[in-house]
Amino acid sequence: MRQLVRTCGLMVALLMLVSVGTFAVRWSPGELDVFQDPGTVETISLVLQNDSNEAAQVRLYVADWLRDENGTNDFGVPKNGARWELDRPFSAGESVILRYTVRLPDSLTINVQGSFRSWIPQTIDHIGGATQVDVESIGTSSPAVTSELVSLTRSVESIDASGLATIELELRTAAAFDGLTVEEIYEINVELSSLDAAGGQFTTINRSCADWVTLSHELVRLEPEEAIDITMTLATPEAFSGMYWCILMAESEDIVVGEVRGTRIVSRPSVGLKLFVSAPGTLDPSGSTTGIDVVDLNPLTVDATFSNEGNAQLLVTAEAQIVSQAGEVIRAMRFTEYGRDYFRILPGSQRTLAIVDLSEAAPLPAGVYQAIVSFDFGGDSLIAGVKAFRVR
Amino acid sequence: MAQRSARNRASCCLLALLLVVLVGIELHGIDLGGVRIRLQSVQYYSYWDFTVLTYRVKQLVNPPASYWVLGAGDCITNSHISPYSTWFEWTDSPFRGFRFALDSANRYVYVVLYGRWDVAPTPVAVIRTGPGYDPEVYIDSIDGPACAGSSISLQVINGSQVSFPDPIGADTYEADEQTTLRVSSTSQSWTLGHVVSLSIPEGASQETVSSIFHVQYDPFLAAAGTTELGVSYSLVIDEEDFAGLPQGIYTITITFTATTD
Repeated sequence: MRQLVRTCGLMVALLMLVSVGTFAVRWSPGELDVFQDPGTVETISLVLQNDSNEAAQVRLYVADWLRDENGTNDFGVPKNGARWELDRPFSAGESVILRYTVRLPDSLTINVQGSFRSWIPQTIDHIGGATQVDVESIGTSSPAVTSELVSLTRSVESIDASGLATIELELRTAAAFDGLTVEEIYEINVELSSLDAAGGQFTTINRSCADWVTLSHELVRLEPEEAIDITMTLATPEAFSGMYWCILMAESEDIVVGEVRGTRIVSRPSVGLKLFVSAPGTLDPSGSTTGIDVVDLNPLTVDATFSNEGNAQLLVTAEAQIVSQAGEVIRAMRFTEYGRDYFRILPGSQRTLAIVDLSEAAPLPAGVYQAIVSFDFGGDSLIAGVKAFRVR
Repeated sequence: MAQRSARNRASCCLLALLLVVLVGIELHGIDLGGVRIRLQSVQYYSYWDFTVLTYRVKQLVNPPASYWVLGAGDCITNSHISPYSTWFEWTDSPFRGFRFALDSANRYVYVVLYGRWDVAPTPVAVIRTGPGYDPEVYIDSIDGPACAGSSISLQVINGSQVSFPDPIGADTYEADEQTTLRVSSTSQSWTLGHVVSLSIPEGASQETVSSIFHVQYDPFLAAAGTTELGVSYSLVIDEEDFAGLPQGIYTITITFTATTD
């Protein structure tokens, strides 16, 4: 064991050299909020500037993103695709079915590719089976390809008269492992919905504008302090309503700092320009709240969940009031994070907040109270929820 | 969060002066939801160092619309707005901006901003409400105060290469120095994240490497302007982790991404 530790310790020393380059690129503007009619094409000029005193090679591409339930940006959802994360142990001989639907384009046919990764031990492989979704592929599936540990096979279960296809991903395990990530990627943006995520988390972006955007450059080299114009062509579809979003990434090419005893260290600093595209006159802001709970009494902490049920991003403020049995407001707390008293939430998303009493007031005396949480997203009225609780 | 105009003699005098100076210099206007909105003028007053945008707002139909909203980018906050502005409320619906009440009269609406401001196409909305029907929202664009200089950048200014002491057993190992990042943003809020991706030899566990390698940001306030922050790295290794770390060639890719929030 001592020998093993010594050997592995040497490896770790090689491994853990972390390097990042001196890349410094600026997007102007920093964010774009565009109102554009359906079925139109507009060009917008952007500026990409190298702020550093070294030349930079920058790759430009359009990607998808969203915020998770904690408000953290998630750039890991595949463009034109979906991701499943199953954070649980799998046993040998297990069979799991993931089912979802895809809205086919007018041609009623589309290509799809997928991959999966087990977490511990790690295995990466592609999904076998049907790679084209159309009427002819219903019920057919090729033999599963794949690793010894786990196999995943895609089959087209059905396609209804409206062009809604139901897809099945069948997982078979040959050995035990922990955790699984599955990704499906379509050739164009299509609407995907989960029917059965087998207890995992399904994530997709059905309001992506990534397919509407074409950039004038894919790869640029910028001399120190050089600025260039990047033209973004935005072609909206004939019919869309509400807000769609995507992100324009400016990412450094690999900066190879050097070979360090066989270990290659690479960095990719990047800057993202968030793009929001809305159809004029179609925004419908709407929200609701659920799950209000008093989770701590010292400091007094109220959890609440807000759901954006409309079709536009909302900027929301939240306040919790604690009301005594006599109807008196004895505490009022505002939600804050990172020095600001609001959060943004995308359509179709949920956000769970912890509203904490920062007043350092004495704990509540014994009694029965109501926690009233209200959300203001700029609508004509506030959204509020109430939870009664007892302090013993 | 309301911004109220100062109703004193000085403001009346100023606005009266503006009316005289600005009439007849029509720049850009639209008819939207039964309301005619014209940006009558944009004037910068160097003596006071503020910019006045004057809108002429006229109801075209009955019943009158309830209010209109002029879009305001993130670069515009209360600190930019003079109390000589026409009374308004901040709103985030249907977008972030100034919400002005409407009545049946023709009105001049003044947006008075400290400093020198250019104009550019900005969202504008007219909202009609009334008992018994859902609000009607009409959206278009009109020239308004421009956040033309908005931008966001990320720079690594120090610690482009860091290393760890040789681990000799289960322990926590800190990197020998920090990486310093500089984020410059005109937005009031931005976010910084990173993704670590690994290319590892056969038999190695990505989960193990990911779990022992930690990236820690120093506390920072994501506000407009330039912010420098430190990023530190550590390895937290226990005996069981060594099983997932065979010898071989490892490639670490760490991607820092800065965006508006």
